[in-house]
Amino acid sequence: MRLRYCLVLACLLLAGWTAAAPDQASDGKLFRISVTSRYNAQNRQPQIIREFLAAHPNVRLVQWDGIKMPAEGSRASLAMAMAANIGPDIFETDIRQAVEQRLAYPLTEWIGEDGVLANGKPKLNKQGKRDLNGQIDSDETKWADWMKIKPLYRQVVTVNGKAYALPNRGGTYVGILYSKTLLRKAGLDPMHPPKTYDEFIRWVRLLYDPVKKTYGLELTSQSWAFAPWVATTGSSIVVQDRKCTACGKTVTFNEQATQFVCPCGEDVSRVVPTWRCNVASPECTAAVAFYYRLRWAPWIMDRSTHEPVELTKQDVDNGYVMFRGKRIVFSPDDVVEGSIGVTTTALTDTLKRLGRDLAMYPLWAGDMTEFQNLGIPPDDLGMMPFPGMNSSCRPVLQASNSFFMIGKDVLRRGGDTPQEKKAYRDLVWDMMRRICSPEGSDEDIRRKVAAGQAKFLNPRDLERLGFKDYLREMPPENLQMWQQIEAGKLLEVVEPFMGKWLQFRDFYQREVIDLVLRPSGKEFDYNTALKDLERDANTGIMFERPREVLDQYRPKARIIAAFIALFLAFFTVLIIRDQMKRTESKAGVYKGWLPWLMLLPAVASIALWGYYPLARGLVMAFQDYKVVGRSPFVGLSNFISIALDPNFYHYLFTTFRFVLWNLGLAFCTPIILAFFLTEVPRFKVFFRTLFFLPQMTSGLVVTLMWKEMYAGTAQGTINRLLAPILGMWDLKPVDWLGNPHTVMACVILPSVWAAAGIGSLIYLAALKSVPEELYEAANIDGATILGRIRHITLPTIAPLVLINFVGAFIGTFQSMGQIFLLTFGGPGKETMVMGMAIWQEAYVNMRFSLATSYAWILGSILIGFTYMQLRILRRVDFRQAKGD
Amino acid sequence: MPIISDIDRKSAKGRAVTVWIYVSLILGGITMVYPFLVMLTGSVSNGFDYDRRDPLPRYVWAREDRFMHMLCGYFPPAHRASLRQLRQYFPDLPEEWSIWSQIGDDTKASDQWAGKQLARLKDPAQRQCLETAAKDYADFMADWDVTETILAYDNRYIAPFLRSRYGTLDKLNRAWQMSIDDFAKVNASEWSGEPIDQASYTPERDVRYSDLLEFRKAYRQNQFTPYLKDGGATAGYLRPAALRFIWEDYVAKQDEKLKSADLAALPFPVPVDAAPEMLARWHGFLLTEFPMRHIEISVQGRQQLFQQFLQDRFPTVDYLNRVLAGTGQAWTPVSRWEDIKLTATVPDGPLGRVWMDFVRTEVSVGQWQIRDTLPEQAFQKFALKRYGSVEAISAAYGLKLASLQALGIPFGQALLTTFGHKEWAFFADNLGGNYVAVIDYLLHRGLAVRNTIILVLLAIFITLTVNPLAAYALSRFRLRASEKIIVFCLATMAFPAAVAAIPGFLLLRDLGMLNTFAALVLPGAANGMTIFLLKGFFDSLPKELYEAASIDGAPEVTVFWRISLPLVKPILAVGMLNAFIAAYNGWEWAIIVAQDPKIWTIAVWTYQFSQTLTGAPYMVMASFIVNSIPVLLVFLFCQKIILRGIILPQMK
Repeated sequence: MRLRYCLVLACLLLAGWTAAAPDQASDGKLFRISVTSRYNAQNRQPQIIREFLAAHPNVRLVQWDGIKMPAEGSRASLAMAMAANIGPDIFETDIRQAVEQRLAYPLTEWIGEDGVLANGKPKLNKQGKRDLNGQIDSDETKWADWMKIKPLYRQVVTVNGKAYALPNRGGTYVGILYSKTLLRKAGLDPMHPPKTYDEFIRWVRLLYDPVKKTYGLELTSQSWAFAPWVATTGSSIVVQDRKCTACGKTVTFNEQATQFVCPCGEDVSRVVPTWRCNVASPECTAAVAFYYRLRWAPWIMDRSTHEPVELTKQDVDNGYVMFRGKRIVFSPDDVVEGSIGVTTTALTDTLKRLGRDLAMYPLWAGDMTEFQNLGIPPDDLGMMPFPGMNSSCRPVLQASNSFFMIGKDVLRRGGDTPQEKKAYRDLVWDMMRRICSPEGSDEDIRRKVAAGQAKFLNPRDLERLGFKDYLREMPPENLQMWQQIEAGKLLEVVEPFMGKWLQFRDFYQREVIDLVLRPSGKEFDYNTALKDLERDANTGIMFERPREVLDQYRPKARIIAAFIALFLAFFTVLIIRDQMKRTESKAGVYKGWLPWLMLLPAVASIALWGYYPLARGLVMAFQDYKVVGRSPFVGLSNFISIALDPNFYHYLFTTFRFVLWNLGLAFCTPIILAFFLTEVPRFKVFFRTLFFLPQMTSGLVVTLMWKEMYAGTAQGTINRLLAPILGMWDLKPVDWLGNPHTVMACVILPSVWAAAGIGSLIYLAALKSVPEELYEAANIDGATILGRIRHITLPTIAPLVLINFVGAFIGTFQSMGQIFLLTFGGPGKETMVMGMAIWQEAYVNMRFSLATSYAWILGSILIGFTYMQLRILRRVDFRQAKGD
Repeated sequence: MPIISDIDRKSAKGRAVTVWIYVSLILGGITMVYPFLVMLTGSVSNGFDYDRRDPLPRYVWAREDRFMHMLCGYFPPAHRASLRQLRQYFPDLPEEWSIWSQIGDDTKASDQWAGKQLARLKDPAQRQCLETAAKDYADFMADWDVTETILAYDNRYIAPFLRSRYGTLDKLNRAWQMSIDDFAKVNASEWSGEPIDQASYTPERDVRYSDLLEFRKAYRQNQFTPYLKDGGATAGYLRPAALRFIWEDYVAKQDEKLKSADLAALPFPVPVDAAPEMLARWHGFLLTEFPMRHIEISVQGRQQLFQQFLQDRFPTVDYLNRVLAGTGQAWTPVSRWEDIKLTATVPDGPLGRVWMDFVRTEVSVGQWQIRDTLPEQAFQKFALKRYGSVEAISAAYGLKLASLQALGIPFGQALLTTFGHKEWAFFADNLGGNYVAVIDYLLHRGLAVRNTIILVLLAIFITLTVNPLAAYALSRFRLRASEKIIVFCLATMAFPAAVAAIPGFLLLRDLGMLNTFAALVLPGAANGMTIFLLKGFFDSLPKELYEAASIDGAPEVTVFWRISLPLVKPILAVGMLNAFIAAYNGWEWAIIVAQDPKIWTIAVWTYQFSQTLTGAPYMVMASFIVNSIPVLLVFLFCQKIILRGIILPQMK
């Protein structure tokens, strides 16, 4: 009776409590326009935003922030919020992915669109047809500022003739920052920066002092810092193929090409291009090879000429090298491996070293005062372009760009009537326009001018604000670079924008660049890795596999799919028949409604949360699921894509490895522990409590605690404990989670550790239930310990072991265990088990259909085991163990 | 029953086996406990000793560590050049110490240095001098201008301070011209480390800044640190913005032979009658590195020159107005160059940097005056007034001052005596500080505690109703479709959870249930396996009970509540326990279906802590411990329930 009152009381409390919580949205017409973190909404706002907020007192600008994901999955929070219809109003991600998934709201109502004149009438060409060129031209736009955006950026933000984004303000460039003092000290002239790779590497080596640990250059594994290097080869990461209408040949152009002329002279700019990822091309490989050369190539310093000399493997073996007709003999100690440092700390920490023990660092900067607060004086800082691969390639500067879009969820906000909604959309558009407007940074620029720093600023800004007179004072090196940009002597590129670049660049970094720069990078085969990556990029990561390719496999796939469906159906029928075997007599059937009422919550719940998702999942596997709008059916495409994807087999293999390791360790440990605990005559409870400790906290804490212990630096707990041992062999601290050889064991160990105690309880109870008489009888028969275990103990606990084994097998197969928090599938794809891959496909890459297809494949692999599990379940009775 | 019988144990082999088992268990036990000890120690550490990863906090028994721990609180790693500033108060601080964790790593060296300092406290004569200096410091600090101070503050006091000052977020946002949605998110990082050492820094006197000054005053009154209120605690977390260290660094860069003792004896500021080389060096320093806000010039006859300078910088008056008005700082447009008057000290507002450049280029450095806003100079005057002569000051403080200008701010002395008086208050603060911060955060951000309680209650309620009701119905009544229903419930198990998870998420969205408690509990409410198990237990209850009850005319509900449920109590109790644990600890599903901080539970916050607070791992460790306490308590009290609730399968 008491229990019931407690429950009623609890319900009442609950109801009261939830009702008492103040609802923040109820205060009239307060609009909160949210923007993702690329724009800092929490700082003091610039004039242009303050004006807006003053004019609209009911509008607030808020920072949108979702749940923080582990670094590798950081894009998931935005994707998930978008899928949940609670996305930000103004956001930034891959434009084309956002458009394809219909996450971005087109800006047509403010900017206009291709083929429609500004006054709303269709634009016709001479033949009287719609004049479409894929771009919004000056007579088509309704927005005066549209044509002020750089042509390249207009091209970036326009998809299928509609504008979806605005480029963020700020003219920052990714270039190579350098310290003028350090360069001059080494006798190098910043007025004549290196123009080729060879000249550049000479500079880097002249500035490098391995003894004093001062570096000429440091590199990070970030893709945005690597992308310009690809442009220096004259190629690009994404290319477009256009079939010439005259000669019929396919010509390849760079992603950011502006002129399209076939070698035969025909203009192919009207031809619809096919885009593809090009990272394994000889040019793009050469850029990676240059990173490799910087990081690993051996060289010596010639003492007589004070020139660095690069060595071949042959030279190193010989112990001498021919240089300028002279034979230079060197000892192995003279050889320096690599010429650069690798950034492992935060960028700002590295940057603080610029001018002290670091001379050059590739990074973005808007002007030379950018890093003044980090202690880098503006008069010492310069920026030079990335050198061309050889003298025929132009040096490169990369305009660093981000683009803001309006989220599709604006359609749900603002009110109930279309007018209110439109008014809200207009507010959001106005806000975004202001956020992206170059005027947002004018206050800063003026402050710098007032502080006498005009000469360190970007001339474009000065001209825009009408402060041209300051250009005279500009240091010659700075002025030269800006002039070269304007004169087109430098190749000005942006980060790739076709395909899902933001998604691709994570992979680029994780699977290639990082692995070149890592301490283990010397043996890394980047050629193969690039080929694999290009293949993956063109089959999903960056561009979808073309439909024709899929169609080619369709007949074969249908046959296989039919077999699998039969197989599944067979087991399903088997399961159901097996479960229904018991005959039921119709006599004495209860006729009242009460039992049905009692069953209702459970049955309805299982139908809704068990069966409906299953059915929907089945449908989704054959669709191309879109978060917004209709999802087209694509037949077996998802399954064909998966079958053609070598990564799938890798995931499968990794999953098997994970399961085997896990079962080997996690399944046996509790059994052994239970045996041990049964056998000790004293302190049983004490030990039991000890092993039970991990249960008294949560899995989250256990995992993160272990992550902290695995820290790869010398300060990590495990490395500290092992320090005496490692020291004995002169070994470096182990990067437990970053090393492909150790990582699999490391992601499994925490769960083994945590589950041993709780898992052993049930075996302890089982062991206790073995009848004592049996042992006594065996003793009298003179059976050995092992014999007793084999003939008495094991048979008694066998059903329990079997049930647990099957359950553990099925569970482990589907789980991603601690991988989500520990490695997120890394390093590379080393620990990417199925569960993790599904999570990533669904919530990071937003390919829900593909993820569901993966899940179904996983399910069909497991169905045999599940059948077994259910069979066993029906054969046993569960009884409460005799407690102590 | 043990397999090894008593007889076996007497044989050598049996004994060996037993010993081997004990050894294995002890080793295993150590691996169980060790990580927890490291975590526990981590949670009571700070930037000084976190990276040691010791299993026990050494400062509990080592006084030297307690002292270093306290210093780390006054000069936290995150603040600008904090260790360099510490060295200006303790000149014998090893120069190679540049980060706190490195000091903590070298126990021997840090013990040695701290021991040396603490020895000064023990010696009665030295103690007397220390107390005198500390007392003077306190008197000086009591009415020192708060603009020239540095604050080693604790982040967690900002939110309550601003809340009490502004009341609502809207008022704060309007005043600060920003838009944040939570007091705790106010980014006031500049409050800890204004670039007071930079030559051209002047504070921007806006609302934000005046709030900062109020915050500092509150700190000076020990509003946030009551344990420093009295009893000889002279060193508060607010200290004068002493600048001696930039001068020392400047000299050291020019003359690499000088040792830190020589540097400590340098005059600062250098008096006008100093030796010519020293004066030349001083002037070089003033021109390049010394903060211009401490400089005063005579305006006599310089107005014309200033106008000329302005014209050079801003070719026209229009330029000038456009530049200065557009900086976001207050500026009244002028129509003639003459309207801008040269001031003796740096003017507020956008003209400040122009003034500095003018003084640097147009006013001979010999004519610059150092203002009394420089803490060192002010303190020197203060001490001279109190003691009358340099010799008297030397005697009182136990120093050997070559000149008045060699006297620095005695903050080091104040720190030492404060430690002497308040050692155990700091100890308690170290032990509890991280926990207080975490709990404070959980209580004030979002509704973590409320959400957790609601979720746990809901989860337990559902465990006690949905599945037991269904199982009871299936067991008690003979239904036409009993078997079919059981199969219906069990068969979903045949398909992997992952298949249903994604459509489940989409279903929740379509039902508008995302970010509600329903999303967290409903999808897992009914479970075929549990129904099946419970049905087995209900089946094993004697049928006579039901018959007797129905003969007595008891309604079904009563039978269920009062007869059946109590009989399967152990199983239900374990179910409740598991439901509690799952609801309390769950975060994986929550981060997918409940991204709104308004309904985050403690577990989700803990996850969020671990992902965002990477700079303060000791806080993360404390949050882990706080997160674990409820589970720990439940387990301690419910051990019996767990043991009684174990169920074993037996072949039929």
